[in-house]
Amino acid sequence: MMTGEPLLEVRDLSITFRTPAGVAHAVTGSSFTIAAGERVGMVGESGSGKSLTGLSLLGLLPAAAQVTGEVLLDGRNLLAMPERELQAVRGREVSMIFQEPMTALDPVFTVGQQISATFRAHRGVGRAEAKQRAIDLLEEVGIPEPARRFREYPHQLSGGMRQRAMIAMALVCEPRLLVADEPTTALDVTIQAQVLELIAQLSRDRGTAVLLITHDLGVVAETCDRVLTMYAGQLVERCSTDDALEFPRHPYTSGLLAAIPRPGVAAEDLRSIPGRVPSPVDLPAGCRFGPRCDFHQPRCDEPQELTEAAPGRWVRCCRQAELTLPGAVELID
Amino acid sequence: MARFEWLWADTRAKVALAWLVLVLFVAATAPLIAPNDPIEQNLTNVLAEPSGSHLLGTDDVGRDFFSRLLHGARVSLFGSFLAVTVALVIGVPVGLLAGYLGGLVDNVAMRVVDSILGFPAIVLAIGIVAALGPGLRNAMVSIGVTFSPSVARLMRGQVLATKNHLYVDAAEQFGSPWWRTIIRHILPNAIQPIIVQSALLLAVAFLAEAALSFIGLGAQPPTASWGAMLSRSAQFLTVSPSVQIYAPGLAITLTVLAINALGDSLRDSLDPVAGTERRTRRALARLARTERRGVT
Amino acid sequence: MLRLLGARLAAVIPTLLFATFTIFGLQHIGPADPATLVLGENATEERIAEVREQLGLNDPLLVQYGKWVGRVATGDLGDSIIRREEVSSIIGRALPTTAQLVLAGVTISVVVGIPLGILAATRANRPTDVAVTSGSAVGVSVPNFWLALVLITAVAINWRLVPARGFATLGDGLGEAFRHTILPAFVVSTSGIAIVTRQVRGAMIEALNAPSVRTHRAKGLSWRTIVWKHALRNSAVTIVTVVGLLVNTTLGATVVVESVFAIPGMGTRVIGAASARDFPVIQGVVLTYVLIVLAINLIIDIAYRIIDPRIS
Repeated sequence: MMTGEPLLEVRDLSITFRTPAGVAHAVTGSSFTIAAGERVGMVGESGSGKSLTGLSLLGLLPAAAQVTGEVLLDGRNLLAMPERELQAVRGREVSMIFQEPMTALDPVFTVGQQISATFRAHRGVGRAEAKQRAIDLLEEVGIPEPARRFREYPHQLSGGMRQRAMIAMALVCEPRLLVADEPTTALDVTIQAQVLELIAQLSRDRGTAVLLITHDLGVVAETCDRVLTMYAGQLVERCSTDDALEFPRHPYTSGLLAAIPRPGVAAEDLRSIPGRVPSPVDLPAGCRFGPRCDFHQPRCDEPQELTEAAPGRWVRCCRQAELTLPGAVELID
Repeated sequence: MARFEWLWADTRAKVALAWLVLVLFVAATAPLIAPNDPIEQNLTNVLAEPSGSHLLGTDDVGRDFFSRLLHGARVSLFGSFLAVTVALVIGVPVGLLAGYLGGLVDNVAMRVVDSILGFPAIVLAIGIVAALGPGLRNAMVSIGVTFSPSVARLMRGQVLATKNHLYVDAAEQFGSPWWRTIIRHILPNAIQPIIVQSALLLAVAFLAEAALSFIGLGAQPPTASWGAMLSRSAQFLTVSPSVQIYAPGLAITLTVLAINALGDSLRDSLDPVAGTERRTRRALARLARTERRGVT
Repeated sequence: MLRLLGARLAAVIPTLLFATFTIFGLQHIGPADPATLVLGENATEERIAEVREQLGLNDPLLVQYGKWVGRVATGDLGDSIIRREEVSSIIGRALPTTAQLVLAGVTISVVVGIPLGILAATRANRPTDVAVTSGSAVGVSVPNFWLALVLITAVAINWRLVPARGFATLGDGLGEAFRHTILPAFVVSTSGIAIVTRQVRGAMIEALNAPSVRTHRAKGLSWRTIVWKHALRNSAVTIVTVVGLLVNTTLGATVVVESVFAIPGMGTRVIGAASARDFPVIQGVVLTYVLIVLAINLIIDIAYRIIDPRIS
């Protein structure tokens, strides 16, 4: 489904931490690619290793983390790159926006200072040019009166405006990949849709690839071309958004679909997956989702491999061929 | 005894405690263990260098310096405890009433507290000593007075924090008189922070005692206090045996250091939240540090 | 900004009233009669009565206080009892000396303390940090007058690098002023350095753990920029608070240290006056100190608003 070299390729990425309780397996053997201009969603509950995977794309993993595998940007491995070179990549080739724009922005610098600082750091341009660029971008992300907002501090902006400013900051150097970690979780529902639409539109207009990290498959449905489903540190399903929504092949993906808020269904009637994500220091030996799965069988207690179920469609479930799982359409009916 | 686990968990606190126990022991037994009379002069043997008969030599009027150092522990400790006691005796009731009664009483009391905190403490203390007349007792009462606002403010904060608790309300509902509410319910909750604050004030009081005695407003001759001894040595700076400059100063420094260290561990142990926060902060700092390993 | 200043000044008034009342009341709390203090122990009854009348000591206390405040407000602090000189002229001579010492001390505290605090924060819980933190624990525990004695012995007497006693203000020439100021200024700055280091360390550790640091890193800023520009700016409120506190601490430290170095400043004056019960001088000096501290607090209060955009 992709042509030529991918923009980014993650190969067999594993991240572990030593903790007093034992070795924590935060991410295990994760592999995926992102093509130039492509929008990919990464979904899973909290604790599934999504955010760490996102940070690894900027070489921002804590050094306490023990990392194996490769994160290749144009064939250059970010995990082996010296800090100085990484600084040149961050913000210029790969950018990131975070969940809570209030704390992610520096409270004592103006929005404008924070945007132009990125531009100046990477482009070495003068103050005036950086300012003009920042104001242009603020306008582009839909902030009214950009020249005034430029001089304001984060606390003077509304939540939605702050996240727009974060997006402007991330895009100021025209990066080729934007990692968005739960960018709408902290926002009001009405604002969420606007911000998602903005990210999608900017991605289309500029050809910026996006990795959208979220716990909400609904968010991915609106924005992304492909979906990576993560569970307990493993990729469990990797396919196009349409496939995932209509015919999920992994019980976990199906479970996430059932949890999407939708019209006509009261919040308390939404089916959430029973049980909890296992502790990363004490993972099941077989299928990691096994203990919470409705379709669990004895053979699920063997380690599960990610296998190609159909062209471009990878699933980590030994029963994927025999199960017919409800997709978004069935759930609405 | 589980309460005192902190002491054994913290090496710094152990060392500090050992030193303070030594100082307390010396203070308690000075008349018994001191080799000489601390105020007996011998004008035929002044400013003598340390020797077998005078471990730290003799001062400008021939008194045994070592014996004076041992007795000095007594005077300095007594002085600082007096100051802290005065601070508590004034500060605790004022803070209690201000916090409990609120309104005008609280307003006026806090204005007064703010005003006193506006003075550099030592200057105000000097002013009060001038009024009361010099002497260890007056000096330390003055120091205690200047400390009392900080105790009052802390106490008031504690009262405000516990005042709205259900059990205080309940006690009042059932007609418990106000003083009993204070003693039964409010005071016990406030006691721990007050203990910690007292320990930290004790260290400052110790330094203040030394300073006031050094400038002649504290302990009066022939009483030996560490500050007063330094004052004598300073007057004969070029001719005094140098150990007489170092010994009292070192004794003061170590004692203050020990009190501060003990106060810090006490705070961490009595306030599990602060202790945990500190540990969390440490863990975070460690993480942040490792995160930028290899950063140029 | 002007309205803010007005509001702050108004808020200071009750504090000032109580502080002046305390200062005025000093001579009345002791056992000695102020008239006896002026005349000495051997004065006759009639003479004492006469002076009591003169000094207005027969008026109610509040009336006396009102009259005193009225005089003080016009700059009349009365005459020194032992020196037969106007208190205002004594303070006029002593204040520049002490101001120079305090300014130098505060400067040293800040210039040494801030980098030390940052150093400790960026190496939190490593040997450097432990060394800096222990050093600052010692810094607040050393009696400054003793440190003065030790340094005078070493630096001034043994090595003859600077004078052991006396003082020179900027009016006496820069070099001379520096030689006389450096040692006492260092001594009065020791606890200040310790306080600044401790507070800056705490604030910087917090600032460096803030989520916005991750954003800055994701933007590609260098660690050095993040520490020295962003984290330091986020610690500014703490730093300004500490500097305000420092003025008070350092003023206190000069009192005793001045006397060790025989520096003719406010501290030496107030100690001399205290021993002689020269209340007009004590009151003048204490009042000056209080006014300085209140003024600094006012400045700090306004500085907060300039530094932190979130305080409005």
